[in-house]
Amino acid sequence: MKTQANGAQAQQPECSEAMSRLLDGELEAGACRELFERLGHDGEAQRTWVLLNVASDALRSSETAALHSSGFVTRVSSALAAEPVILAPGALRRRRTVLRRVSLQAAAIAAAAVALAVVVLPQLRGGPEPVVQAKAPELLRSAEFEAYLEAHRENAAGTVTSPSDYVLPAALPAALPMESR
Amino acid sequence: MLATAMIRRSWAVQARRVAFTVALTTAAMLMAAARAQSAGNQTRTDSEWLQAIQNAAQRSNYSGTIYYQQGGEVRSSRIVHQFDGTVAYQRVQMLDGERREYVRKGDAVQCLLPDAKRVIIEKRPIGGNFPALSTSAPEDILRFYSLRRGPIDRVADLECRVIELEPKDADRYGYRLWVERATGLLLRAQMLKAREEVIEQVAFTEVRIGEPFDASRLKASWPTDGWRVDKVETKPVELGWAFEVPPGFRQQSAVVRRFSRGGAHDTLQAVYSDGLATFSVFIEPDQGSDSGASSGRGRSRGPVSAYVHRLGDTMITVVGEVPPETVRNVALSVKAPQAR
Repeated sequence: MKTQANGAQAQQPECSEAMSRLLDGELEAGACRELFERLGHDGEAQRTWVLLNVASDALRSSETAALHSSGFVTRVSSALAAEPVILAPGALRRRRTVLRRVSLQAAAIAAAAVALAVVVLPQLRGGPEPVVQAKAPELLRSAEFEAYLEAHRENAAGTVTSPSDYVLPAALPAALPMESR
Repeated sequence: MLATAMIRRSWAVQARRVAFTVALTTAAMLMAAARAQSAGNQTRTDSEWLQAIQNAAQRSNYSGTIYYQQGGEVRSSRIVHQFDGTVAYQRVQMLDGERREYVRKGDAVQCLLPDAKRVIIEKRPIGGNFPALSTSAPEDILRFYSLRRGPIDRVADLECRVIELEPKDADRYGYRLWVERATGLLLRAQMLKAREEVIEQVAFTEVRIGEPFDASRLKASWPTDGWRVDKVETKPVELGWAFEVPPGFRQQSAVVRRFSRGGAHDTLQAVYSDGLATFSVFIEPDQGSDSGASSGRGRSRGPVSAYVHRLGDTMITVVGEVPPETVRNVALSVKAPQAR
């Protein structure tokens, strides 16, 4: 048991390097498989992977500095691990083909780590106790949205990206039934 | 006699020399002016770029096909724009969906609906839509957007300078513009989220610039004899309500309107603009139809964001081509007249 732990520690730097190469999109397929297999069962490697992603995201945005609380990272990791259906737009898309090949469990953890900044960041502005699931405002009904949008376009001058025919005259609703528009 | 003749001759020689010098100087000045003009698009200042777009859109002759795209929505229209030295004329035909045509003379716009045999007449300034940029002064726009010169690119087979207008805060979106180098006419425009994602765009797919004035091309496609004519007149009202709007946004208008979707109540609509982005604030009595719905409800589609906020028995809705946070913040900042 002890030997195993020492072995894991000795392999750690090599493992981190593989992870950072994966983040840069430079890790070859064989090594990817190996790394993800390891991420599937090695708790230490999972922690390193999460931290590496946090660090890499923090480099891109100062707001992610708040993610450095280790308790927070653990909470987010376990919450996300319990709910594997997480989409990681943008950042994950690049690595999707690689991730598909590995086990669901490893993929969920990897996705959770990458999704961390995307899912949680908007919550951080609200206060010190972040919530994992974003509480988006209730959705405005589509019909209401359309009616207000139409009214906005009737009276607003429009924008440079809208051609002049975009604007409907205010009297148009009476001219034609809504269905035909 | 001889002396007089010599003097006369020398006067004549001198006069010729002066004339020659004047001609030479004039020619040099004209050449310098021409050079300056051709170099103009290289040395334009930020506000001169924006002014050039605005001038070209309103005070030159052009025609072509315009392509508009937002999400899955794609539409095209044909435009003929002419300027007679005083007044701008325009004819825009929708090429998709129901037949519709706009004929403009100055600020007066006629919208022709041949299927319904109706003409709707309204006043609308020309400045705000593609290929025009804005009705605001360039300096006002540049207070809230940074202008960056990009590379040279080609649109509709013409060389353009790419210009980026990057917002100085998160309250508005950015824009990328393709400006024809010689004339300043805008040939393509994109609205951008976070400098990367294109959320709306419009472009000429083919364009002809600098054609001679031809009134026959501005005539409506159909004779409108016997058609029903409606004039749209909006009466401005005093907006009693107070909002905190992001810096640079100014109230353009405030009107009372009724929604076509039913409901006999009047709705107050105020339009705000920073010169490029606009949003509307709607204030109306809460009809109680969605009594189960919570106060904060939002929705976004493409560049448009909306947010509904309930204040007592009044419903405040903010809708516009700005980020979701902006409409939300404006809606939540509302103060009723008596609460001020």
